[in-house]
Amino acid sequence: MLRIAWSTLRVRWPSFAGTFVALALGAALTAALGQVLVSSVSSPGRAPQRYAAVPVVVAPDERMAVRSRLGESTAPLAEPRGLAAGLVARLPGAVVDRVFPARLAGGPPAVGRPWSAARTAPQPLVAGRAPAADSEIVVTGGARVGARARVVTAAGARAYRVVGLAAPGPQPTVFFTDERAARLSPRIDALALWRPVAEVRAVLGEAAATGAATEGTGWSGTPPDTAPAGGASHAAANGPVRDGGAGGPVVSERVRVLTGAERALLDPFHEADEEARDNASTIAGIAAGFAAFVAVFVVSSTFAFAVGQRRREFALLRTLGATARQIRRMVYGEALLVAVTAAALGALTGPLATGPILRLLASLGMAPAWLRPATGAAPALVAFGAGVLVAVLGVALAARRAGRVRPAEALREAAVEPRVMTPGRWLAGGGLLAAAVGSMLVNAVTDPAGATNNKTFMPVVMLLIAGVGLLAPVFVGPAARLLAVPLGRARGAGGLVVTAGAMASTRRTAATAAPVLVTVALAATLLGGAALTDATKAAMRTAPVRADHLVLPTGAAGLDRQLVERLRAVPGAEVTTTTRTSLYTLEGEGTQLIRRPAEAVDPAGLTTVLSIPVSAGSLAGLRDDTIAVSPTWELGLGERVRLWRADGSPVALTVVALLGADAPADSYVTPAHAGAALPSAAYVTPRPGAPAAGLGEALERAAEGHNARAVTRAAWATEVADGGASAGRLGALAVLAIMLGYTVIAMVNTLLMAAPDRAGEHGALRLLGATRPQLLRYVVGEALLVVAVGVLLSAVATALGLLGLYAALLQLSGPVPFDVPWEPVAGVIVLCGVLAVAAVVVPATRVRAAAIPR
Amino acid sequence: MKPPHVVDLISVTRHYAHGVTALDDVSIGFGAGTFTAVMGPSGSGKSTLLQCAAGLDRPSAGRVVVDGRDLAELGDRRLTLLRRDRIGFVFQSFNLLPSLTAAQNVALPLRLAGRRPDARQVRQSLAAVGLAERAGHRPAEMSGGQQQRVAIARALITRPAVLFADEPTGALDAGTSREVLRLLRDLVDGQAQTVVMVTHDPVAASYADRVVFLADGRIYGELRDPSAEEIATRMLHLEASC
Repeated sequence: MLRIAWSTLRVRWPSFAGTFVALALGAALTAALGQVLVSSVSSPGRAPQRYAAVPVVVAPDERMAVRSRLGESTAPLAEPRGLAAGLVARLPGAVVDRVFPARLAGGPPAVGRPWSAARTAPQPLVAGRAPAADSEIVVTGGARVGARARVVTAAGARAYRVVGLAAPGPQPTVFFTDERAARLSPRIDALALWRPVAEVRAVLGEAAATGAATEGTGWSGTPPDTAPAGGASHAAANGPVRDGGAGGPVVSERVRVLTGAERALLDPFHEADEEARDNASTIAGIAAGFAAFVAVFVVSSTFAFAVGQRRREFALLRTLGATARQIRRMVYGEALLVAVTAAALGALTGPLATGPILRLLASLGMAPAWLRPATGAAPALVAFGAGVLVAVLGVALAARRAGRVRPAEALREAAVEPRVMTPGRWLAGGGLLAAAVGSMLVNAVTDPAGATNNKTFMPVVMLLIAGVGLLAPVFVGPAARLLAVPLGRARGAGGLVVTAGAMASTRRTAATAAPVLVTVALAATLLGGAALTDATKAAMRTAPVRADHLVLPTGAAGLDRQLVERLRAVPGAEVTTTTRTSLYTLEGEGTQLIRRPAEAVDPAGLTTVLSIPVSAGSLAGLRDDTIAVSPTWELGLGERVRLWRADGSPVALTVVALLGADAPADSYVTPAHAGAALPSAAYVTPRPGAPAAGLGEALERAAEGHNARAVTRAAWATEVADGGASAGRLGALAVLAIMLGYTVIAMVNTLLMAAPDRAGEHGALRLLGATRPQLLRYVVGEALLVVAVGVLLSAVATALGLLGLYAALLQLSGPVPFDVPWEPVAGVIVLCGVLAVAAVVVPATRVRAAAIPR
Repeated sequence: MKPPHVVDLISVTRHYAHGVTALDDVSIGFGAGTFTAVMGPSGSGKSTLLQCAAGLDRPSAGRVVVDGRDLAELGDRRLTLLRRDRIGFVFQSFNLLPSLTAAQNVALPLRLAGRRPDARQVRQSLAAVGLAERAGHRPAEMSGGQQQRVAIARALITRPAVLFADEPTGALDAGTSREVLRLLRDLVDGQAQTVVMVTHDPVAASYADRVVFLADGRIYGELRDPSAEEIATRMLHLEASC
C-alpha cells in the first residue's frame, strides 16, 4: 500500500503540498517559539556592569527570613537595609558605594553615587575634573562642564556646579563627593574591594563573631539559623543592628561576598532584566501554545479536506477489493510520509527564526535585547514529535471516514456530499463550546479578577474558536443564504452560481472559512479583550480619585520631600500623598512569606481625595495600628494580623476595613509604615472656602524643577485611558503577528488545494457560455462569500469571548466604555479577503474554454 | 445438462430512501461461461441489479449467491475479500488510478490482496487484451478503448468467477466499442469466462448470448442470441409501454 500511497502522492500533489505546507509551517512555528522560550529561560544574564572592575563586592543580603511552621521562609526585601557602618573600618581600602535617586531636573532617570565609586565600572572622566566640594558634581551626560544644574534627590532639588563628565556606565549617574553622597544617603549599599576574596571572608568572619555582620552563603545558601521561632530574623539577639543609636537606620546583619558573574546581581537592571526575561518567556509560552493550537486546527482541517477530496478514489479502491482497513492504512501511510518529511523540515528550519523572533519581540519591548538564541535541539525534537503526532491525530478521523467510504460510491457521480455533521462532530463542537462558555461563567462568578488574566482568557478563546470551527458546517448554509440575499437580487446567474457553489460543498466552504475564522476571531478577541481589560484597569485606577488635581513624578523615583512641602505650602491646597510600599505576611497557613503591595495614605485625606469602595468596616478607622485589606487576604474585621514592613521590621495591625473587589489597591496603611519610600502621587483639593481658580497653575509652579508634573483629574483620566498599549495588548499583538502569518498561509493553502476540484466546474461554466470576466466574477464572489462566512463565524466566537470577559470585568469596575480596535481587525479581514481572491483568481485564469470536464 | 449458475439472485428487492424501489422481487441466474446483457431504459434498475449481484450494494430483501456463497452472510471484510478474489468489475468511466501505469493498475487487485504481483502474469493479462507494449504507460497517455482494455485486464487478473461490466462502451466511439465487445466475447468463447454486462446499446447487447430486459425494477422477458435489430425493436416496445 505504501507504493500506492507514494504514487498517489505524485499525482495528488496539490492536496499533499497543502498538508505538507501546513504541517511544516506548524512544526517550524512551534520549534521556533519553543526555541524562543528556551532562549528566554536559559540565556545567560548580562555580565556584571556596575562592579565590572572590582574583584570582590560585599553587599547586604537583602532578604528577610521568617521562621514559619515549615522551617524558614524567605523573601527579597522591598526596601534595602544597607551594610553596618562598622564594616568599613574592618575592611580598609574598601570603596564605600551608595546608590540613591538623584536626577538632573528634566533629565533622564538617574542615580546618585559617591565619586570614588566611579572606579567600579569603571567610569573614568572624559572631561573636567573630579568633584572636590559639596556643591560640585560629575555627570554622565545631560549638562556641560562648568554649567550649573539642579539635581533632584529624595530631600529635594538643589543647584550644583558640573565640574566633570564621566564615561557613561550602565545607567545615567550623578557623582557627588563621597561626603556629600554620605549625607544624601547614609545607607551603605556595597563595599568594593580590591583584595583577595579569602581575606575578605576572614575579616567578615571576625565581624560576625562581634555581631556586626554574618556572611550568608549567597542567594542559594542556607542562612545561619539566627531567627527565633516565629519571628523575623533580626528580631532578637542577633537582631537589627542600629547604627548610631536608636534613631539610626536598620541595617542588614547578613552580608554577601560577591565575585565573578555574581556581581551582576547588584546591577541596576538586574531585577528588571529578570522581569523582562519572565515576560519574554510568558509571551513565548503563550505564543507557542497558540502555535500548537493553530497547527492542530489547520493540519487536521487540511487533512480532513484532502481526504474528502478523494472519496471517489477510495470508493474505486474499495470496488477493486480494498478492505476498509487497507484504505485506513493507506491514508495513515500517506499522512506519515507527509508528516515525517514536513515535520522534519519544519523542525530543522524553525529554530532559524529564533533570532528574528527575538529581535521582533525586543523591538516591541516584549523581550530584553540581550537574550541570546539558544542552540539546543530539544525544541526541534519536540516540534518534530508533536508534528508527526498532530498529523496522525489529525488524520485519524479522516482515515475513519475514508474507511467508511462505500464501494458503490465510485459508480455514482456523487455531487452531493454525504452528511458533514456527524454525531461525533456535534458532540465535540458542542462540548468545546459548552466548556468555553461554562468556564467563562464560572470564572466571571467566582474569580472575576482571574478571568481577565491572559493565562485564563487565552485557553477559553482557543476552546471557543475550536468549538465554533467544529460546528462551522451547521452555520455555513444559513450564513451563506443570509449573505446571498443581496447577491440574489442582482440580475444574471451570478448570485445563483456563487451561493449554490458555496452551499453545495459545505465541507469545502467550512474548511476554507476555518482559517479565516481562526485569524479574525484571534485578532478580534485578543485585541478586543486587551482593550477591554485596559479600559477596566484604567477605570479602576481613575474612578476612586475625587481630588481635582494630581501631582505625579515623571520617573520612578517618587515625589521628593521638598516638593511635598512646597505643595503643602500652596495657599488653599489640601494635599494628601500616597506612597507605594510592600507588606509581608505569612500565608498558606503560616508557611509562606508573601509580599503584598500596599498603599500608605494619610487617613484624613483617604476619605476626602479618594473614595475607595469598602465592603465592610470603614476607612475612617485607619490609624497607625490598623489596616484596610482586600478580600484576597482572607481576614475578618477586627482580626489582628502580624506583618513585616518593606524594610523587614515587624508590626501587628488590626483590620478595620475590607476593601471591595473593585478597589484599586490591595491594602491601605498609614504613612508610618511606608519607611523611606517617596510618595508616588499627591492628590490636591482646594481647602473648603478657598478659591479653586489658579490652584492648577500654583501646583505647576511648585512642581517645576522637581521632575514632577501637576495635572487635573480629567486630564489624568484621559491620559490613563489612552495609555493604551499595555503589556497585555503588546503581547497580544506579538502573538497575533506570528499567528496571522500562519493562518493566512493556511487559508491560501486550502483555496489552492480546492482549485483543481473547481477547474472542471469552471470549465463547464465556460462551455455554457460564461465569458472569462464573468467566470472571474463568480470565482471572486465565491471566495468573498467564503471569507464573509468565516468573518460571521468569528463574530460569533468573538462576541461570546468578549461577553464572558465583559461579564467578569463588570463585577470589577461596573460598566466601562471601551474602544473596539476596529482598525486592526478590519485590516485583518481585508487581508484575508485580498489573499482569498488572489488564491482563487490565479488558478481560475488558467481555465480555458476547451477544458472539458472529465 | 444445464450448467450451474455462478450468480443467483433470488427474490431480490432494493428500496432506496424516499420510497424509490429500484428492484422489485427480481429472480435471475447467470450460468458459468455465459455472456448476459441486461438492458432497460434509464431508471429501470439495471445498475442496481448489477451492484447487488456484485456485492457492491446490499438488497433490502432477497438473497444473492455468488460462486456458491450467500452474500448476506458475509460481513464487510469477507465480502470485500470475496469481491477481490471472485468478482471482476469494469466501469463505464474506466476508473483507472491516474497515478499508476497500465501494469501497476492491472496488478493493483493482487497488491490489495497482499500478493506479490507476478510480472509475467501481468504481462500475459495485458497481452491478452492486446496491450503488451503499453505496460509502462499511464492512463492519460492512452485512448479510451485502450484504457477500458486495461480495466478489463485488471478485472481478470484474479481469475474471477464472474466479470461485471457496467456500460463498458458508454464512453467509447463505435470503433473502439467493437474492440472491447469483441474482447469480452472472446473471453467467454475462449476461456469460458462468465460475463454480465449492463448496457442500453442494442449493438453492444447483440454480442451477448442472452439479453434480459428490465423496466421499473422488474424483468420483462429475455431474448436468446438476438440480432441488434430485434433488441432495438423490443426496447422500443418496452419504452413505449412504460
